[in-house]
Amino acid sequence: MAKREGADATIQTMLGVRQARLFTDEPVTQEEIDTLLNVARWTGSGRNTQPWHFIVVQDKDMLRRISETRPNNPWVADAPLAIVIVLDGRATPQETYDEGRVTERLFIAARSLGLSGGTAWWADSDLAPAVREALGIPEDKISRSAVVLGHPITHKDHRPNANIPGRKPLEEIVSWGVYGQSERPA
Amino acid sequence: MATVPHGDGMRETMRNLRQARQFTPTAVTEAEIQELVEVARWSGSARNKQPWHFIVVDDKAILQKISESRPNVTWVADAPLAIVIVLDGENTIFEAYDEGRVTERILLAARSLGLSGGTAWFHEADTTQEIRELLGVSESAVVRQAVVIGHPITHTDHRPMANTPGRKSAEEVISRNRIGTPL
Repeated sequence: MAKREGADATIQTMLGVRQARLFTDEPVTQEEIDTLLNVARWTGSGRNTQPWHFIVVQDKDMLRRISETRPNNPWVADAPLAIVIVLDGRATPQETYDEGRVTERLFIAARSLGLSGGTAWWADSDLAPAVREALGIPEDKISRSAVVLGHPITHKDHRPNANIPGRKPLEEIVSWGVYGQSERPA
Repeated sequence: MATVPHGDGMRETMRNLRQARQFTPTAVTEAEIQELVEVARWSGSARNKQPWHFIVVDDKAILQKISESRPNVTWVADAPLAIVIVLDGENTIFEAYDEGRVTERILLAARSLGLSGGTAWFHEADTTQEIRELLGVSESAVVRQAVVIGHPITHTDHRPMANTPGRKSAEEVISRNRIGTPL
């Protein structure tokens, strides 16, 4: 199988994915939403169970409700779009892993469209049941995260308890053959 | 922020990403491995914890041992490369989610390089302890999965208990504002 045209651009795009939590007023277009959803829908999952449902949220009141779930989420109120992920609730941690897979694809596809975003997570929120009810999510389903997207103003984390940026060096996180073997044997 | 060059081709790659489980004997090159681990390294994770370690495995004995762990992963024995994901073991939910994120990136990067991969889960197996020892992974870490990569012969699932291909319809998996409201 041949190296794909634009392979380097693809890899550069992936390396360029950063979270954004401050957005301009420019909406995400319907066409962009369709593109994102198509990428999400074709995501691989454990045994191809596709244990998900996506709720497209642009309604300001609903975004505000999500933003109120945790002290880390107020930025969601001013975002143009959230894609709420609903899981079937049949298999843990497999569905959590699949949730991660689809989330990553949404971020990469968004980046390729000139969009950026962040994950809003409300698993441990007292307000989660109210959000669930507003979104019409049945009792047996799991829903606790949304991929929030828009046109980024900045990729700096503006929150008071911001995450530390950057990544660990390769030597720290890669081994060759056996854990701790930091250099490739000749 | 501008759209990226080759964005259409990239989304086409994502749309067409399929798992491969049968590979030619051609090795994955050093340069390709470097690209894969660099893409893995830059994956986002909850609170940027980067709760992972990647073991690059091309040792046939280890691949063989992984392949014996479950009936569904016998194909791993004939693969040229596995990237075993080791998680810190500090947060079950976040780490499973992060493991999915990084796996998806490795599969996409592989595909763009003309390679393909499949995921092999070995965590249910009695052999997990042996695999853990072969890999030198500590008791506190979580290790249950490898992203297995090579030059694909086919993307058809050749296993007796093959997964059903294709995807659910858009109508079935997408709503607007409230479950059941069509887009």
